[in-house]
Amino acid sequence: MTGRRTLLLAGTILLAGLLGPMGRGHAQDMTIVWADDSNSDVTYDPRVTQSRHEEQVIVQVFDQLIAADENGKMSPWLATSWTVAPDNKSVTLKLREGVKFHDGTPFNAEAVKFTFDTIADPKTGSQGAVDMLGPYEGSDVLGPYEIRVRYKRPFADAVSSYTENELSPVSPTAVQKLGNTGFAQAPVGTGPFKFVSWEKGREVVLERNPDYKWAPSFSAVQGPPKVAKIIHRFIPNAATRVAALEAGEVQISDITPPLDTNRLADGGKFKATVGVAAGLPYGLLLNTSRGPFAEKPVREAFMTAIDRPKLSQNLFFGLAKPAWGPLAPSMAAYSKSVEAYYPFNRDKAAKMLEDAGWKVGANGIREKGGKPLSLYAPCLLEPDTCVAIQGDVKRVGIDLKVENVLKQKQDELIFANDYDVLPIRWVNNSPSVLTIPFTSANIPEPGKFKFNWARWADPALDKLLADAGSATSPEQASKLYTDAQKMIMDAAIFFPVHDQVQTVVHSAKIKGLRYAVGQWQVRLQEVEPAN
Amino acid sequence: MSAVAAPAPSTTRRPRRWRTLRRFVRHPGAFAAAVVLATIVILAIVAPWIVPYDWNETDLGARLGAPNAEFWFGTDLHGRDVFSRVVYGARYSISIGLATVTLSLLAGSFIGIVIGYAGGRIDEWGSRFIDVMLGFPQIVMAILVVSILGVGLVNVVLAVAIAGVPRFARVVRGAVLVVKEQPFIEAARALGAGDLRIMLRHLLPNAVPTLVVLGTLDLGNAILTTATLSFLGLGAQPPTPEWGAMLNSGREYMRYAPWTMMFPGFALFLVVMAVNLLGDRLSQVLDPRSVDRK
Repeated sequence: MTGRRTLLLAGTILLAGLLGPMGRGHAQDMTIVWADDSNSDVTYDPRVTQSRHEEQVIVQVFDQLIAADENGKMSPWLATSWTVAPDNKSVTLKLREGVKFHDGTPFNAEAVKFTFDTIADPKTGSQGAVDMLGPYEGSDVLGPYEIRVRYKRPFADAVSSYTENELSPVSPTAVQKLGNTGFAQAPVGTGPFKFVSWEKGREVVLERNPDYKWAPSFSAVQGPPKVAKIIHRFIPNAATRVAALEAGEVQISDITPPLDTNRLADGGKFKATVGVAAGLPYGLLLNTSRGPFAEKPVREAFMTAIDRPKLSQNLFFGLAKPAWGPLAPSMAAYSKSVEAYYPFNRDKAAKMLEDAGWKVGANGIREKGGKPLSLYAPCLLEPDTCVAIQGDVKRVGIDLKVENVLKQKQDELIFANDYDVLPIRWVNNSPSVLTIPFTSANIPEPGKFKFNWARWADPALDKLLADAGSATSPEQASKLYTDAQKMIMDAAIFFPVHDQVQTVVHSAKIKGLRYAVGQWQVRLQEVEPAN
Repeated sequence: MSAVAAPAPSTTRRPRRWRTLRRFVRHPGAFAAAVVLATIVILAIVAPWIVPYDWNETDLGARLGAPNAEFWFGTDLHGRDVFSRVVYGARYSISIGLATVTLSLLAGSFIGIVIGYAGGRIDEWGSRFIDVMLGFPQIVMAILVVSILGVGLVNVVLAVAIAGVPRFARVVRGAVLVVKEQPFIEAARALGAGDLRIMLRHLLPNAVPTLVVLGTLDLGNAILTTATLSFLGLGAQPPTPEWGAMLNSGREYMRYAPWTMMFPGFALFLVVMAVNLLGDRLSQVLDPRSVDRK
């Protein structure tokens, strides 16, 4: 008995000795756990989603026609080349051969046509992709690996739209077999990881796609990923995510609180990677339809009274930079001209209010015609930022009434037009995001939830944004978006506060995390052991 | 608090007043509690003259600065003085507690006396209703009321008060049922006293000792419940230095600046403990069956 046990032990040790180094070298069983701050994911169908959390899973399971690195630099992927028609109304793509979906379906022009057609079909219920697809008219299959995508109007964003997760080709056979609802629960793409299972509110399991050999050229890992399995775990509480990371239960945590990010990164056992998300930075929309903010000088004074560099330093401990315009500086369409607007100057702000007839009254709060300069700010996003702003504007005699609200209360206030200031942010890779909060068609109405919370209607701005969306060249679009950014800042309807940052902290034992374009989702295809 | 609360029940028994008070303070726990509570109440009253800084002034010191000679309790995320905020917070917590208890006490006594005195079907239905209300934990009840009325300090006071009503009503009704059958009530009625007079002059004073004890015990509870609601973001809104709200805003930075949570938490603990000790002692002193009373 004892002898046998010893033999067994010796055998085990020998085996472990043999296998140990081998296992490490090839990382055959490497599992990484991603801690995600959401637990409300509902679909992993790229054609349907509009959630940045869902896209974190989608980005591992699906590839795009055109690859974009974290800075938006494009390179061939599922499409090997593309040609834009001179009139900007169609794009012809040559597709890569030999690519297979996870269910064995070959990837070809039919699959791309199927994907785009179903996005345009209202029955699919697309929330994000349908906007990115733009004025889509239809697709012509020119050959098994050649397709022409047609648009109703010139569409300058066409090529860059093919880099979006939302327009990832989906497996037509899987959609036909599972139906749209079934596909949302069991997505099938061509990506480096295959979907395995999803336990709602707990975790999603993905496993390596062993046939993967079509990574974009910038990828350090060509061929199948080194990671065998990804567990995407939902941990909405930030402190719990950090604790799990420190305990080694998870290897990567997203949206890590700034102080923890700095502390962990300084300790040496972890590394931080900070993404500056594309889209609308965190900022305040000022309700121009009522109260003191109906007067433009008051809005300008409000903006001038706030010290943004100090505020973002104080709240984000150096991780987020102040924002100056309605687009993130990580976007190509960002115009540096916005940086001249509303620099902090407390005395000037006070004088602007004085000149506008708002005189200091009781308790240091300004008044005009017996009405106090009181502004109501229901804060759903980042109440601490609102409190910091409250402190700044109080010094020039503005009483900002901050209230922590939940989503439902905020939405009621929006319908009732009962607010003066509302914080907003929007992760989006395209400058056309500006239409969402700034065009007159998007002013909220009772029963219609929309995002022009400034309630700003300017036909010139509407036209400018529409023209930019259908510009015939990227240069022309860029010029029009520059004008739009200036027009928005001139109108003093949006107060950009700070860049949206994605603070991902990961164990120093792994490397190779790469932000997707837009710098919010992280691609895990290149992850490998650090040594 | 003690000076106000203790003599109240003995208005009809003047000679006993000082003996009750003496017996009350002789207990070391109650005495300490009285001192602590008196100190906090006085601090709250004189807050504007004694706090070193404006409680709402941002960027006074470093953000999340540790306690030092300049800022005794440290500073919070916005560089505000935590000491000044905690002292001002006493004003909110104590007055909110008092307002809440007063409201539920008044409403509860009214309901209790009416249904107890009326008897019959009114009592039956009223009591069942109170039973149902008592079935909800106070905090759940309060959250329900806040979700109807909306967030904010005033609404939280109302919510916690409403949630406290059934308990007072139940106790007062019990006291009324006992007293109602006493010969002196019959005598009063024989002398021609009306219902209202009997309720106010004869029934109510007899419930006062019970109400004082219950009210004091409930005060701690009310302060804690309002703080809980503020902690959940339903009560006091920024920048109000209510203790529960301060605990909530310090939560995220607990690891780096524990003082932003520690001091408001400690203040809350002191007040609630002092009030509860006083309540316990009051219940002993005012209980006719208490051995200690002799």
